[in-house]
Amino acid sequence: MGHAAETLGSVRTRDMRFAYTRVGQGTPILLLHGWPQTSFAWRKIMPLLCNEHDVIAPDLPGFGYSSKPDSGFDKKTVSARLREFVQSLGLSRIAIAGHDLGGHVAFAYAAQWPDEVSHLVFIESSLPAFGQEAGMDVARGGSWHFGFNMAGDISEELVRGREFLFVDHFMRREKVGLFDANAVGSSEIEHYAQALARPGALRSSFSYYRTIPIDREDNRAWGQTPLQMPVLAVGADWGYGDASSRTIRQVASNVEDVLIERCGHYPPEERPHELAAAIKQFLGRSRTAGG
Amino acid sequence: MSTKLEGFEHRMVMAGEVGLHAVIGGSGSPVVLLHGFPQTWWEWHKVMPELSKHHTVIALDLRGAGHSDKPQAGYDKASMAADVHAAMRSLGFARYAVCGHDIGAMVALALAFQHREALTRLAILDAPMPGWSQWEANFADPKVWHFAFHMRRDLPELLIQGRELTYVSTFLSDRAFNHGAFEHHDIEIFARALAQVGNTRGALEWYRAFPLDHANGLAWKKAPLTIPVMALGGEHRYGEKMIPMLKEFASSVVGGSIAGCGHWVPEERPAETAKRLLSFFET
Repeated sequence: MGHAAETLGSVRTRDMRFAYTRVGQGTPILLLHGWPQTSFAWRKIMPLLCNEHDVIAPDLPGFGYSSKPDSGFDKKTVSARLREFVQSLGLSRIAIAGHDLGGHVAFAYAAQWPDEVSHLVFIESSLPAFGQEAGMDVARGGSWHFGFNMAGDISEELVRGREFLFVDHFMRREKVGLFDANAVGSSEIEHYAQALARPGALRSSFSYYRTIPIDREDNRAWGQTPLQMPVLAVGADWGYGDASSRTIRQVASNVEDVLIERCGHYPPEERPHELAAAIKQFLGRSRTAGG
Repeated sequence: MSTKLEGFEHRMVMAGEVGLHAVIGGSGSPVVLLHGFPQTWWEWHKVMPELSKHHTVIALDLRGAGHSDKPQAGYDKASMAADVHAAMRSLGFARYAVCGHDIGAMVALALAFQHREALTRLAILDAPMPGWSQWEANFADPKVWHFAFHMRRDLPELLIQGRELTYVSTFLSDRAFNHGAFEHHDIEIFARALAQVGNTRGALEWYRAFPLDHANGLAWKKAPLTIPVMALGGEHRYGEKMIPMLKEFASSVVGGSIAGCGHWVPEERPAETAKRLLSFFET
C-alpha cells in the first residue's frame, strides 16, 4: 500500500472555519463522524481508502477544531454548511459516508442535493421520523441520553470538566458500545474528551440533539421522495444491528447492507478493515454497474 | 441554615434494620409526611406548624435521604412503604393518615395498598403514580428527562457529585411557578443533604426501582382503595391530571388543581396546602 501524503487543513466558508483531514487520490468521499466525536474517528479508515479515493474528513460544525456557531445545528443547516465546505475544496459530486449523527447529516445532504451525491454509506445511524423515536422511548428500553442531552444548560453544567467520563461511558458502555472494550485506547478517548472540553463544544454537541424536533419535520418531508443513488447500510451486530438498514430502506430505494460481527456502535474504530473493505467494494461495484 | 422548627423534636426511629430520621411535633391524630426528590423532611416545614395544631405530625426522611439510612437495596416503593409503616408502629401509631409528595406520594400510595388496615386517609401531592395508565407515556414529557437519567446505573452519581447545589437549584427552579417559595438557605439545605455520602445514590435508587413499582401499581389497582383519597396538583404541573389519575386506584377521590403553583406544592402554596390537608383529615 502506498503512503499518500495527508493534508491537515482548514477552509473558511461563508460563516464557518472547517478543520479537516484529506488524503489520497481518486473519486472523492466525504466522511462524517458521529457524536460525541471528531474527524479523528476516521483515522484508521483513511489510510485504507486513500489508494482509490480522495478521502476528506471534516470536523462537523461545532466539533473538534471547526467553528462552534451560535445556531444552525438542525441537520438541514449543518448539511448546507458542509456543502459550502465541499464546494470550497473545488468538488461538486461526492460520495458521503456518515456514522451515527454523521448519518443524519449525510441523509440531509443526499436528500437535498441528490445529484451531487454519488453514493451514500449509512453507518450505525438512525433518523428522526424513521425509527429514532424507538431509541428515544425510555419506557421501552430507549436510551436516557436523548432526554439528558436535550434538557438544556444543566447537561453542559454536569458534564463540564468530566468530558472523559462522559465519552468513555458512551464508547465503552456494555450495551451498544464497543464489543471489545480495549478496541479504542484511553488516550484516544482522551482526544475526544479534550475536543469536547473546548469552549462551546458541549453546547454545540448537545445542540445536535436539541434540534431533533426540527430534523424530524425535515426528514418527514424529504422522506416523501426516496433516494435513488446507491446506498450501503452498515450495521454492527453489537451496535444497532439491522436498525440502520431498516431505517434507510424507508427513505432510499437502492440499498444494500452489510452487518459487521463482533463489533459495537463504532465500526470505523473497532472494525476498520471490514468497514473499509465494504466501502471500497460498494463504491467500486456501483461505479462499474453505473457504467 | 437552621433546620430547627419550633415545637418539633428530631429523633431516629428504627424501621426493622433501617434507621429513619423523624421530626415530630403537635398533638392529635397522627399524620405522616413523605417528601420527594431532591428534598428531605424540610419540604414540609411551612405546613408543619399549622398541621401540628390539630395533629401529631411526623415528617420522615425517606430511606436514602437526609439523615435516614441508605442501604444498598430496598428502594422500591413497597419496601419504602414498609419502612414508613414499621416506623409508625415503633412510634406507637397503629392507625394514621399519610400525605406524600413526588416520590413520597408513590410511597404513600404503596403504603395505602400494603397496609389498608393502618391508613385512615391518603393525600397525594403532584406526582405521577407508577401503575397509572399514562405512566409510560409520561416518560416522553421533556420535563421528566431525569427519570431515564436517574435510572441509568452509576453514571449520574458521578455527574452530580460535587455539583449538588447546581443540580438541586436547577431542578427546583425548572419545576416551580412561584419562585418566591425557596429561600437560598432552603436550596442549600436540600443540596447539602443530597451531598451527604450515599444520599445521591439513595435518591437515584428510587428511580431505578420504577419498573418494579409500575408492575406493583398495575397489580394493586385491580382492588381499588376504599379509604378517602385527596389528590392535589400544582396548576402548572400535574394539576388537573391528579384526580383522574388517582381515580384509577381509589373509589373515593377529592382534590384538584392548586392555582398559581408548580410542582412544589407545600412550599409554593403552604397556606392553601395546610388548609386543604386539615379539612381533608377532619372529614
